[in-house]
Amino acid sequence: MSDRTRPWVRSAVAVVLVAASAGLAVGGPGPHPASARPVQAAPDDAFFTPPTPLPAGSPGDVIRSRPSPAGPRSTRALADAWQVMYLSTDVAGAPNAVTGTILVPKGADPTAPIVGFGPGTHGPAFRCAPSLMLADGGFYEQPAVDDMLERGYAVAVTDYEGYHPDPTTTYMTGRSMGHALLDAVRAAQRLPEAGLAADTPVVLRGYSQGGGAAMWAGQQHPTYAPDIDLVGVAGGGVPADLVQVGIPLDGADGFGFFLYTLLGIDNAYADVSLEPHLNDAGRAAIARMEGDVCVLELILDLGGGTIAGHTVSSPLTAALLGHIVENGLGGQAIDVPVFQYHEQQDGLVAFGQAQALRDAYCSLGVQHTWRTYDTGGATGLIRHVNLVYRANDDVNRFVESRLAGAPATSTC
Amino acid sequence: MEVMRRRGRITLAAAIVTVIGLGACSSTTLAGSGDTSEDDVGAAALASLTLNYSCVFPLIGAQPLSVEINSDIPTEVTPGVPTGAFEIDAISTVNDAARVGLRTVGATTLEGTVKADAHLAAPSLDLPLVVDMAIPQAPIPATAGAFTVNANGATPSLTFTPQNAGTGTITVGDLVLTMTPRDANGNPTGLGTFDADCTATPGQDQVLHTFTITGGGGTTTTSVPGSTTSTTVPSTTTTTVPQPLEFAFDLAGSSFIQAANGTTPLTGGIVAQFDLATGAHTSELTLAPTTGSFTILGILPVTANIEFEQAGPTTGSLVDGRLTSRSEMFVRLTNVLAFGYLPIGGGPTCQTTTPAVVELATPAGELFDPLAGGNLEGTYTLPGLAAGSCGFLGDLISLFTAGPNNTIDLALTATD
Repeated sequence: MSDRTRPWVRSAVAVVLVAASAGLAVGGPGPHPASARPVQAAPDDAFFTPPTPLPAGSPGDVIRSRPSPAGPRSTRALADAWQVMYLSTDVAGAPNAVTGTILVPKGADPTAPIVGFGPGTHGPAFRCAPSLMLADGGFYEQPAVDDMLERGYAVAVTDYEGYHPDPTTTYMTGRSMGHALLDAVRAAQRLPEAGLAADTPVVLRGYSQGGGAAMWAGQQHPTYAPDIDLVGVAGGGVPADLVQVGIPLDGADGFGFFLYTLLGIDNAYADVSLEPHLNDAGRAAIARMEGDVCVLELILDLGGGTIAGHTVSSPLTAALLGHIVENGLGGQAIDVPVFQYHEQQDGLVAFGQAQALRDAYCSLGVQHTWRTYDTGGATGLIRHVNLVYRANDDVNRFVESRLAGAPATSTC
Repeated sequence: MEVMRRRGRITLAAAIVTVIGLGACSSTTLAGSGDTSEDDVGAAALASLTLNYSCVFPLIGAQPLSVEINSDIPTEVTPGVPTGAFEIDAISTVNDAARVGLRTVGATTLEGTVKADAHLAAPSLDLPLVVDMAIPQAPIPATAGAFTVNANGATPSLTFTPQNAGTGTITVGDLVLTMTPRDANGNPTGLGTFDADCTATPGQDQVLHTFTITGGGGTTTTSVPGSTTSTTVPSTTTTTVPQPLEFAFDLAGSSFIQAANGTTPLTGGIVAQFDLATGAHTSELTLAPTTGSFTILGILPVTANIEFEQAGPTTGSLVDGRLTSRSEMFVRLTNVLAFGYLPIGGGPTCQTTTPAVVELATPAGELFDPLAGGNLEGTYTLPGLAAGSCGFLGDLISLFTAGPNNTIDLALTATD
């Protein structure tokens, strides 16, 4: 009995029991047997460079794949992962090649549900690609991915279009993001090594840029990917109206995201060019962004900047504004239950435009559940960042309920 | 093949014996962490080692981390005498890039745990260990510069055998940090709780401590072949199997009774006696009386007061982190009410004709940690109720409780 009152004794035994349990598998006598890390992608990794010309095929077909680390050690114990390059469709309706990572819980049944995961903003440089962050163990949404894997769901993470050594990310062009997310799910179904069936239920989730991707994918689903058995869409911090999101960011902490959005539209559309409007500071900023800037640097290096400080003439031309409008959400219904959530004082993705999207979906008859949060964050930007993690329990419950076939409760 | 596998198992068991020895049951010389008066343990020395790591954090990627590890560990140990646990303190220096990243997401404090890979080597002994350490909440400074974070933990108590006589080393390997940054209100940030893998920078001396295991004439010539599983250990060590060690857990969970289409909450405790050599356990299971709400005949809401009587000890094993258990228990319905007030059966002898056999195991993909606990799940069949002992509707009640495919889910938490 006295053993129970002496934690260090229990600790001793516990360690040895654990060691003994692991002993047969651990094997060799090396000094740190569990430390071997899988090989990581080099920054100039040719895996991410699309072949020219693109191979023939349908959206979602896997162009190439390779095993990759699923995340930090704890996630690697939970799941196997593969980086994939797959066919998708750009804003103009032309085929493109997009990369992503497919994660499958160890021992998963072929009928495991698939969660299509749209990452939040990762940044304009190649090194920021979600697949590289995942493989490196530094993906900032790993807790949400792990939540899904722990429930036995496979996860298809898209990088979105344009992450390759000479990056041309088409940031915030929802029409491309939605396709990329839906086709990541198809790639998961078609990657033979993943061993997943093509007819299992699918939920899409994402926050911030990922929330936009999930909603776009939801709107595109009936016409673009009716083969996917979609049962729910969860999107938070959704940038639905890029004008309403962008304008308040001029001179604010989130200015880098505004400038990145302009760069993304430039990369996506041939009839838009940012270059003639930039001053020296603007050109330097863009070069720095595509060279080395990820999301943290978007905040730290570009926060507080202004459009006027980076340009000689307004880049907000009629053509660019037209593309911003084309990539606005709420024009079509989503035909499965939707969970949309937002920080009430979000200082990066304006609250009002998200509420307007909620109203639009409700008027279109979408089964829509709306939830707002007051995270108490010190700044509007931090409030936005807080919900990267702090709504996960609610999102997880929504995903579980959809996959369990429970009826959704609309708050419209 | 079978012979080799069995030999591997015996070797594994012997290794457990070698390391654990008699530690937990011995009444003397086990006090604490090598302070002063433990003459028979041997002279203690401050072991200190600074290791450089590369840790991968969210948002900021790989960053250098310097860790100074200090521990009071004897320089000489005697076979057969437990060393006691040694406290380990680690002071980590976190660079400014990590500080900036954390402050940017609103974090003002940091807390968490560390799992440190360690390795114990001595003649006839080659054992990987994981040392758990806690990181108490530490402030993240607002001003620029590196900052330090402290962690503390303890090594396992070790008892060596004469076969181990010679030089022993403790090597420190990679780390897994599980970190929770919090904001000024104490809430988690957008990073939540994340793992950061830390890989030791190659080319460093990673030996924390070298010590001497005395006695045994010092002429032991047992060599350690390339694989732990083929280490030859004299069969006599099997006679030193220690007494079982006791672990206690609280349990909470529920059981779904299929025939009655209802769920019953379960609480209680389990005191497990582990045989360290084999991983087998014999345990005393206690399930508190509970109340279940069911619907019988599709319309009749029924509340049942339920008691459990264990028909014998619970047995099972903990192998490769998977806990299994088998219990036999009578299930008794002391009172059954319809609509919450109308007695329709039950009674002091209204119980299953035979014990229900409940087999539980750690769910696939999870591990059971004897120090902390873990989850258990299983399915079982509920036997019929004893005829004539449950009141005039007894047969009816039996019909709507007995049957297969009942499920049980439990969470075990170590009792402190």
